[in-house]
Amino acid sequence: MVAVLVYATRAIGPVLMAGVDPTPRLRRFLDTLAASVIAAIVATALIEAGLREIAAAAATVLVMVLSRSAVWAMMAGTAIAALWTNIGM
Amino acid sequence: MVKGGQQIRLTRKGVWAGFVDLMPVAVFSTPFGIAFGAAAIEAGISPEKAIAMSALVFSGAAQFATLDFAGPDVAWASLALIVLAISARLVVMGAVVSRELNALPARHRFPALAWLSDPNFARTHPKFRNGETDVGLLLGGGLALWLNWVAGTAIGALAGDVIGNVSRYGFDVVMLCFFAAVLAGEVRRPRMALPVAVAGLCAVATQGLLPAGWSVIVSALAGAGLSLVGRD
Repeated sequence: MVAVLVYATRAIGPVLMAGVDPTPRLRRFLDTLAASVIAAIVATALIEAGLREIAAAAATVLVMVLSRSAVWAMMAGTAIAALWTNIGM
Repeated sequence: MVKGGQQIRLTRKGVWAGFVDLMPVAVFSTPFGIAFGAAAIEAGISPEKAIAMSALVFSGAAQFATLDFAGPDVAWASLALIVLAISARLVVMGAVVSRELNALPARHRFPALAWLSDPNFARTHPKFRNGETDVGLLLGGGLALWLNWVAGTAIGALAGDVIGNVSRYGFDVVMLCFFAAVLAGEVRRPRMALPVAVAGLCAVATQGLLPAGWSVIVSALAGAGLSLVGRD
């Protein structure tokens, strides 16, 4: 049942949009929505998390801004989290 | 449908390109899968069921939530509501890429949707915006994630106690870091900064007031609503 529900949520977006002619305004809305969803997911995860996760996310953003490489940014964030745990902070 | 002179399509080449492109990120869903497999066993679910669940549901958040309901008396209605709320962001993501997906024939559209997930969406959506026409990228990325997720679940379900705690390796924060990186990339576009900040703050403010999945939806709508304000 869980599988059916999750698939339904995947399929429903395009079905709803099928009859709609996307105006530039609607497209911009959806485009902003995409970034906003990710922002909300990250923010939610960060409140539930501790300092360790916040440090990891901050390192990721910093390296992303400096290097513009998502892979380096993620490796930096993961490394910070691993160090944090192993040093026992 | 035609976009920038090119037909929107789903090719085997695109699937492979998407698969290879997302693989460096997707390998990290293996430790997630391991964590889920181990947690499922702890909740009293058989290894076969845990693996089947990962293969069919393919949603870490929904599956972890489902584990809370494992037991002799399943509260199906509550379970359904929670799964829907957690998965509601998939409705939003599906709507965002609907222009590309609806241009495909149904035999391509529904497989592409089945493997829609946060990371391949986050990776592919900016490419569609920049004129990419091959939806295979989205499906390929999803397949890379799925393969690692199912393999990880199998390892965790069958051998979880051998591996120990995944947080020692920092694997538990990989998806968080991935989303943070995507977000840092998005915010470089000036008009995104305010909506992203509003969505983030709104998620913090509604935390605890709304069920988890809903606060994400409301916050995302609040952020995106800003794009409707102001000049066209």
